[in-house]
Amino acid sequence: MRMFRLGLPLFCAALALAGTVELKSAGQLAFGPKGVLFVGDSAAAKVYAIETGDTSVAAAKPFEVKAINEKVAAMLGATPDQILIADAVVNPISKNVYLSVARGKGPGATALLLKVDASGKIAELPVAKLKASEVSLVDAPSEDAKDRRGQSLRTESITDLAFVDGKVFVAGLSNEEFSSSLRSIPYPFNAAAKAASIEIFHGAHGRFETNAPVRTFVPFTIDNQPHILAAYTCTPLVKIPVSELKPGNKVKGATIAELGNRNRPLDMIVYNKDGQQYILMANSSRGVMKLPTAKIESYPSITAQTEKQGVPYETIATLKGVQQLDKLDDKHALMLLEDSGTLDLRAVPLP
Amino acid sequence: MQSWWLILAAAPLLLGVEPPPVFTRDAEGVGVTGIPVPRAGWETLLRVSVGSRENPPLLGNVEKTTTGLRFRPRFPVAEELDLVVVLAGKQEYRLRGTRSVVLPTTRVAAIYPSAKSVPANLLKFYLHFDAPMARGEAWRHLRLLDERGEAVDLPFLEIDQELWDPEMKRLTLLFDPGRIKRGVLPREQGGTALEEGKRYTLLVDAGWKDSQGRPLAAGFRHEFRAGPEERRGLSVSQWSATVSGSELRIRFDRPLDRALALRLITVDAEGEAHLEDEQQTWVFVAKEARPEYRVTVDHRLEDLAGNRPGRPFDVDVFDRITKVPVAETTVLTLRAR
Repeated sequence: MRMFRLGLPLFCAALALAGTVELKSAGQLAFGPKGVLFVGDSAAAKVYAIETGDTSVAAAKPFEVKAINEKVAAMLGATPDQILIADAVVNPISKNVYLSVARGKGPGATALLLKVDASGKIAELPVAKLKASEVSLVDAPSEDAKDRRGQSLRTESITDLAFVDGKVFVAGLSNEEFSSSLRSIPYPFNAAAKAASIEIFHGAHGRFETNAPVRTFVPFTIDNQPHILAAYTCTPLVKIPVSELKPGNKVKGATIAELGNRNRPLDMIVYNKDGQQYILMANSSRGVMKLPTAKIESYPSITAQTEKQGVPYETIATLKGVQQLDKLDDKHALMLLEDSGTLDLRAVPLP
Repeated sequence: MQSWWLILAAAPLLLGVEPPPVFTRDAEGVGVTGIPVPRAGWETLLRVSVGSRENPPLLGNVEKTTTGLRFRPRFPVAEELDLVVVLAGKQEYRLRGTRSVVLPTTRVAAIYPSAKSVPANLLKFYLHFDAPMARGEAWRHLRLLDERGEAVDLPFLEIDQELWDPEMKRLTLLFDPGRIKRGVLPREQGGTALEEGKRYTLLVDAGWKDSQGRPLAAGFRHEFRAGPEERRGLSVSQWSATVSGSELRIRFDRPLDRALALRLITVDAEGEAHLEDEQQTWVFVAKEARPEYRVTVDHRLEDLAGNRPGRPFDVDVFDRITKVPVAETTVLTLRAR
């Protein structure tokens, strides 16, 4: 059986206070309610919930910022090769774009968040002045047993983050053990939350099962029920009902698609077009895939080793170099596109 | 530390009748003297950008000094960058950067598993460097070559996050689990990255940059052979242990993941552990000899193919024999003879 543990975090800050955010790293981003930006800080093993105050409703406008990595580098006094953009998300209320950025690439890199508006203006988000709350992902001190020099070399990278049905879900990948970690954190972060784990079994998936980590996932509604659609490092796409992701539960998820050798999802969004719902999936340097979700709802779980195809998909040949993907509005996706080292931020019509 | 920079009287692009302002550029930012500083509105008198005035302004603040104004950047500005200073929205001055030659010194220090023969379903390599490296470079500078010298297509799980340790001196290189796990599409379509009986070379090219932006002092190659796949759960009962004074030795039934063996096998005594014999023997030297030691083996321990105590990497769900109840730890009591 496939199984992964879903742990609840130990330490939570109950109140949103100003001046509490000290980013050690800034990775995955996700917007929650009322302009709250969730920021995954892998180096600090924390998730921050930052109240951006960016809550003025606006319609999406044409969006194109060319060579955004060079512009950001210029603002930060760095050469473009010393800038990394880890994630780009759209504030669904204001339609402004938020970037998580590292200035420098070594262990001493500085993390910051930038806001980009449709006119192309880039500004630093003054995180130290904004109200924020945080949650630590370190389950317990014993988790971090030290090596013989008294240092732990273990890190856990936050590979994805999403706000679904009142909870923040956080997927992680360790640099040592090959085990899965998916955490569920109720928001607002609650001081009463305790460490707990859920075992999730993915039965009905061929003959061989392993406890592979989740790499990326997307919130998704099936039959009016919130689900997460999770892509594993070993490529199966699995649907899991959110209602079952509770501490102490044993949960069954179902494998509904296999993505094949060259399809390794980086980022996914769900959208509607012509009365149909689709998933758009950016893959690591190998193109963008489009899957109709109607098929997911009705598609039987893959139960035998001989069934490999699952949900059919098409590859969108015109979209190349997509590094990040988010939904801008009903008709457009916001993409961070790479072309020979230069990154453009652009609104692209949904295919 | 950055020394004071030589920047004096940068040539104004527009010639005025006033004597030209004098600029200094150092680690603290850009100072300007010889300009009239008004009582109000001086905060917006100075605009500093990198390379061209078309670029967004550098993040930072303008301060009034006893002799003029100073622009203090939010972050130290890379020395090699040219800065363009615009005074009062008109005159433009270029402060040229300086390029210094930095000699590469960083090298690959070690690779684990170090054995020349590994299971064909090997799950990961640990690549150790002797100085901190840069993020976002790995996948361009690593190749796995087969015995004909041709690159194996996408052998590794190329994730943007790159699995570094906190010091960024050790990279975990995960083989694509989809090509290891049985019964999934990538393995069926593309086959395994490593095939039993074949020879491979892991190649690190010298263009990989360290945290200072310097390339490596030398490339690195590691040659190995893929042996039979290892699909059995680890069996702690098959380990053999000896105690000799202050030294404990445990011989595993197969080589283990080095990082996990050093982290997850712990002793109720002070001392230091290391691995010998190509990660198949664990050696612990206690500070003081004792008649008895308790060694705790955490079951998150993995062998080279991700198999754990009582739990193989992938479980054949039709074969119930492989489903062994999973304990969290095994405690071994070792006594001196």
